[in-house]
Amino acid sequence: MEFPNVLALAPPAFIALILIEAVAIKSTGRGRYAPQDAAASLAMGLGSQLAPLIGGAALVYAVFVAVYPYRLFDIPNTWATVLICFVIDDFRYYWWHRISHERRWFWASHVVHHSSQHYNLTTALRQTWTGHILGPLLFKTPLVLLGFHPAMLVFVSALNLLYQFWIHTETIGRMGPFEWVFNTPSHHRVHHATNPRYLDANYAGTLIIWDRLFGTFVPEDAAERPRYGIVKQLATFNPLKIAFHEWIAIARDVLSARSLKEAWGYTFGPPGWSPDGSRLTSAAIKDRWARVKGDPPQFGPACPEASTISSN
Amino acid sequence: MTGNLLLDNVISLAGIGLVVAVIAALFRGTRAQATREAALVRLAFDEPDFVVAEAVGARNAQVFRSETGETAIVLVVGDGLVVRRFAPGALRIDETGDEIVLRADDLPGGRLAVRQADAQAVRQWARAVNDWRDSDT
Repeated sequence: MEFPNVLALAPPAFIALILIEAVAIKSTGRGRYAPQDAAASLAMGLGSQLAPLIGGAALVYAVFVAVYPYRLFDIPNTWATVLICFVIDDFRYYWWHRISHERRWFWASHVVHHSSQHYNLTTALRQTWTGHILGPLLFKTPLVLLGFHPAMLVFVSALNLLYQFWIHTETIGRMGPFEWVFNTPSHHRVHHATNPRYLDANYAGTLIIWDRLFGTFVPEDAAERPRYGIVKQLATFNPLKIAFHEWIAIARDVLSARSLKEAWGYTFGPPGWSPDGSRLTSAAIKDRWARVKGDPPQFGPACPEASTISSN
Repeated sequence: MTGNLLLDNVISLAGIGLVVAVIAALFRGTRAQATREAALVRLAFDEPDFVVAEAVGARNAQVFRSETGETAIVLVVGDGLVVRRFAPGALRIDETGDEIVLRADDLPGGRLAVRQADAQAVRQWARAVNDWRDSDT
């Protein structure tokens, strides 16, 4: 059974759909585009296609091929087993994605995908240039050892990524019963949102059932529109800074660490972890929000207007 | 696409160029304004426990000081606003001509030039910011 390289066939469709979405947003106002942001996202997408070539995709595949003879089961390459492999790989994706948000080492790669304040089809292509070795080795090797052929695994992972392209849009609203089982634009808008109540939710790739099963599902609330990006928004459209800013931040933190425990925490703790708690993890952000929830913006006795020296 | 890596990337680059050109044509001029109102909304969302005591502003940024001496800067990046929060004394401030330059590692490029409409406003602004700094130290 031959497995086509579906990702290689996709770019023309990506381009056509982005153009259609841009026109739709211009005519309906449902969504946002900005040239600088879109250019940065597309540059990241192009880089992410090149990075694995020098970043170890061949090495990872070689490891898969090397361990495949030690598989537990002989799973034939049929369409039925492809379907089973797709579901199991989607389960694998859920946990990889969840850990990518919960541990800073993996977040340093994945943050790239979340670094835009926009949510449109170009955001889907804003992908990391790093993290192409450890993640796949840790999370995909067990599937190879189970007996799925490496080529089948590459194929279903590519299908999963393709599925996730179209859900990066604000032009599609709710989708009824389809949302019970499948990841949709609405579910994924929540995942990309920085609103405290939406943080660390909806990690699904294709099937939203994993979030429902493991307690990370949060529905989109029409009363609370998602605000996209990361909790400390990037102030750049430079692809190099987008690609490496979190790795540089980790390096700085590790160099400033006063003990191995601190260095470990900075590297493998939750994003936002600090020894003295002076930074904010997702949990701390949710706690902080809970304390002031529902209140209007807080102003002291000397309100801004009263003490303004000059303004616009 | 074609199996030729070089050709594939040339095609991808052409596609990116086309997409960016169309988006630029459709959405040109989409740039955020650092108005006081927009900055306060953004600040309340990103830093809900920041209690604003004083504020100064310019076209490209709004600067807020809290009752505890922290500073929050809301600056324009593309068509969005970005918030940076600083502990008391963490900002270095220089006055150069008609600009106030704030310096901190956490600012884009390590610096932010806050441009004011006129020289008098700049002097007032510098005095205010330096008063803040002096009261912190």
